[in-house]
Amino acid sequence: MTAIESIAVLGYEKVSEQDSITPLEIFRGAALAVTGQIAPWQREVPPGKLDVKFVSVKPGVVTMQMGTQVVPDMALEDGEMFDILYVPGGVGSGAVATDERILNVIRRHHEAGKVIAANCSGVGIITRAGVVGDTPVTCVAAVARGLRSEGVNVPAARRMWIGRPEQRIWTSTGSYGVHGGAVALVAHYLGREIGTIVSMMFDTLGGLGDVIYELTGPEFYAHDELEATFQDYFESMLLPQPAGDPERPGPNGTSPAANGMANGRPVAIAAPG
Amino acid sequence: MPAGYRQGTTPVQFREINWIRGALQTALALEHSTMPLYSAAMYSLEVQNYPSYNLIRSVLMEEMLHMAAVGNILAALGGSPRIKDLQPRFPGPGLPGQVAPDLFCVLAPLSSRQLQNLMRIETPLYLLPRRLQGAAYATVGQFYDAIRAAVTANAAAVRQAVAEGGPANQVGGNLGYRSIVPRRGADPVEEILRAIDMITEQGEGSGARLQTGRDFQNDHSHYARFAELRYGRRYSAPAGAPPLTRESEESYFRGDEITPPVVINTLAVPADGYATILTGDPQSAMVSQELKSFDAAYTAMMVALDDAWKGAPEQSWPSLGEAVMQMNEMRVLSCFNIMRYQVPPDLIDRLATLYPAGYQTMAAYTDLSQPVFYGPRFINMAAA
Repeated sequence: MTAIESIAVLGYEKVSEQDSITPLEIFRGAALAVTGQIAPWQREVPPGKLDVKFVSVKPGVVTMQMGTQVVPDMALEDGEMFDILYVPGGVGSGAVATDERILNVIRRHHEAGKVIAANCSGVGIITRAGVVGDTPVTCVAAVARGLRSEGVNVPAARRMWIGRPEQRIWTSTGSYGVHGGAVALVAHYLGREIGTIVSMMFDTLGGLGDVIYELTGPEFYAHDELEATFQDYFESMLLPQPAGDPERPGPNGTSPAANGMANGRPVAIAAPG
Repeated sequence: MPAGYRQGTTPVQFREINWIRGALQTALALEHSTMPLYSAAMYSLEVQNYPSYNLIRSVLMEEMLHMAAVGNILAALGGSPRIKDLQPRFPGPGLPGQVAPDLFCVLAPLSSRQLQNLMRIETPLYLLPRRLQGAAYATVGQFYDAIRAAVTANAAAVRQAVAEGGPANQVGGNLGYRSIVPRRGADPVEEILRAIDMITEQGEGSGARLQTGRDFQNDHSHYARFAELRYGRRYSAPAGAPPLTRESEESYFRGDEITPPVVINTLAVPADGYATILTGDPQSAMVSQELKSFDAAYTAMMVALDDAWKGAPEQSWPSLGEAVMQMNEMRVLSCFNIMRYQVPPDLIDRLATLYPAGYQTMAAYTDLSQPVFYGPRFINMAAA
């Protein structure tokens, strides 16, 4: 059993607000329950410890993809470890996926037996870190095709979240699924009681029901043509090809654009979270 | 209402394997919290051999076994018993887990009043006044009933957790402690339930009896042993015994007389651990040193026990040995050092002024008309 006493949500330039702040709030809500500050009933379990931090790899303000500026709780020091390292998605994920320092932080955590979680295009970051292997994952539609083309196991019917405790990998879709995926993660690692308290705080149980206690979330609708269109549009930004790799052809023969470009047009808008 | 569920507590559908682990950590704190109370009473006896001393000591020894059993169950389920940061609050209401909330726990010498408290800790539900039965966990047994029910309801997950194991050690199996290890042909769920039976039967008795079952040699329960001291008579069920009730209870204790022991009249420990008194005591430096030496031994024992479960496996046995050595040290430091120091009579005269909030408790548990001595505080310096 992995005892969870600390969680870090990784912040970086142009991270998605929804992908990062939503899980951060859910985890901090869980911390209130774990430490006994929220106790809707007399709990038999003694108050415990859960340290939740929004971290970055360098000091200073993090500017998110919609312009929200956030001061991280701390900049990660070498050797610093958290029981769960949560990697959100966002427009900046493509750049992060080539940042060896961040990739090393992820590798170091996984090698030390910690849990790696990610959502949306953040799933691309953890695959680039090499910690996923053939573990089934889910992710935002915009990077699903790209990840599959790299051999990542993204089941055709995407699920809102996929938890694989034995591999210590927990992934969620884009922003719509981030909430459910984070609550399900809490329910799994901190227990059904804490998961329920959190899900009642944020209305998840009413919206999703008992599936929050499962390792696999609800199935998403598939819209093949639309997904392909958005993959063409966002893929090169959210999941750029690793340097030196042959170009990944698009479904209709288009080549991936340079970072920040999609189909020859600059991408100034935010990616789907 | 499902078995084990008490109104206002964690809803039974959320009591899965994580809850069981957490509740076991509370049970660990619960078992531990009884021991300073029992020890303070035992240390206060002048002669450390006579039946009164041996009765309390026998209970104390079994409480250690109970704590070890809980620690081993928790470790078997993949948890890591947290011992070194346990710090029960004395004086204060109730036991960990909000068990017996009507009880006021105070470190005090043996007395009729303190014996009522010690009996209260071990009281079976059917001997508890009805007005006290409404608490979520009015008795220790009820808390274990909740764990028992959750273990049964989550049997498959419990078996899987035991099969997977965890980082913590099983401790003391070769000393007769209950240990839970995967064994061919043995069901860990049954073993866990039997360990819980041992705890509740030795504490409160079996069924409507003040004795354990045959598995534990029909020994007298802890409740019965404390009742023997309170009534000053050995347990002896009368011929044609009436049903055991609160009203008939005393008739079960008409065996051989137990002569009241000589008690060192220690001052019930106030919330500040005597700090206020010590500021006015000319012997403050020496007394403080003895009190701190005791607390250091107590802390070392807690750290050693923690290490026995959570340290390297090859260090488990030496760590347990270290804990036992510290237990002996605690007895010596308390009885031969701390209790030699009398609290200056002028300070006792001013006790109501010095402790306006705690005076009544101190006066209830210590005979302030007689010479008064210091007693051990049980401060765990390793606790946060």
